[in-house]
Amino acid sequence: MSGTYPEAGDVKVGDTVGELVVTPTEITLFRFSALTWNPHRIHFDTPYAATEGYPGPLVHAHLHGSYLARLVVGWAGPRARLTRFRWQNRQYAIPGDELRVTGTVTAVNGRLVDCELAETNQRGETCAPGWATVELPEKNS
Amino acid sequence: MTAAIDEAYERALAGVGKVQEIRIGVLDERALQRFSLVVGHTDAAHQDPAAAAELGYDGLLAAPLYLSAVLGWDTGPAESDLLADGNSTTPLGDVDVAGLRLMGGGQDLTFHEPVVAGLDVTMHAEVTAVTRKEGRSGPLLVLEVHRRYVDAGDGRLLVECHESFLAR
Repeated sequence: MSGTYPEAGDVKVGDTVGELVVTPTEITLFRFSALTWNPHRIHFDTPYAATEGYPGPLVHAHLHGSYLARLVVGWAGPRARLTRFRWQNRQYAIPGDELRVTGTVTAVNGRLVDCELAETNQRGETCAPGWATVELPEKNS
Repeated sequence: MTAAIDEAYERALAGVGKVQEIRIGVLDERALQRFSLVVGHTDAAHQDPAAAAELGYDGLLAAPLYLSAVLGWDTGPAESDLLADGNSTTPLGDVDVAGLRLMGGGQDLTFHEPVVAGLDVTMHAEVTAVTRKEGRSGPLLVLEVHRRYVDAGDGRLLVECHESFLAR
C-alpha cells in the first residue's frame, strides 16, 4: 500500500473499493448538459420532464456512469490505470436524490483488478450497475 | 406509435454499417478541467497540468468518460432545427431517428492510451445494429453504436466505446 492507494498484491477478492455519496442538483445537471453539448430538455426543464411523466429533470446517463468511474478511479489512485469500464442505466434519478456508489473487488489477476460497482438511490433501488478493471502500480514502484 | 417505430426502424437500418469520421480536434485543457470538476474528479491529475506531468502524462488527464459523454463535437444545428424536446434530428450522425426519444442505456469502454489535453483526436462512429423490440410500454428500437477515438496524427487507438440507446 502506497499512502492510501493500493498497489499490486494489496487487494483480494471481496475487498470494498470505498463509497461515494453524491446528491446532484439542478445546477449539476445544467452544467453537465452544457459541457456535453446536450440540449435535451429532459435534463434541465422540469415542466417538460413532467410531460414525459417524470417528477423532475433526469440525471444524464453519462453522469451516472461518471459517478461510478469516479469511485474506482479515486480508490485506485493516481498511479493506477483504468483499462475497462462499463455500466448500464436501470433507474432514473432526479436532483435531490442521494446516490450512493459502492464497489467490491471480484477478481485479481496480477496487477489487474476487476471490480463490481453499483449506484443506488435513497430507496435502495439500483440506478446503475457497473464493472471496472484497473491496473495497479507495481509494489514499491 | 407502431407505425412511427416501424418507419424509424426502416430509416435507421439504412444507416447501419456506415462509418463516420468526425474530427474532434485538439483537446482543450480548460474543457477537461470543467468536465472533471462537474463529475467530481477534483484530484491533481485531472485539475493540475504540472501534477499530471509529474505522474508521467503528456498533459492534463481527461476524466474517463469525457470523450464518450460529449454528444456533439461540431457547431451543431441552429435552435430552429432542433426537435421540440431539444434533441437534434440526427443525434447519431446520419442515422435517422427523427421523432423518437433516445435514452442512453449504458456504455462499454476500453481504454488503450491515456487521454490528455493537447491530443488531436478523431472519432470513427458506426451504428452496428438496430433491433426492434416490444417493451412493457410498447415497441422500441435498440441501437448499438461503436465509436473508436484515435490520435489524429498517428492513428493510435485511444478509447473504444460500445453504447446502446433505446429509442421510443
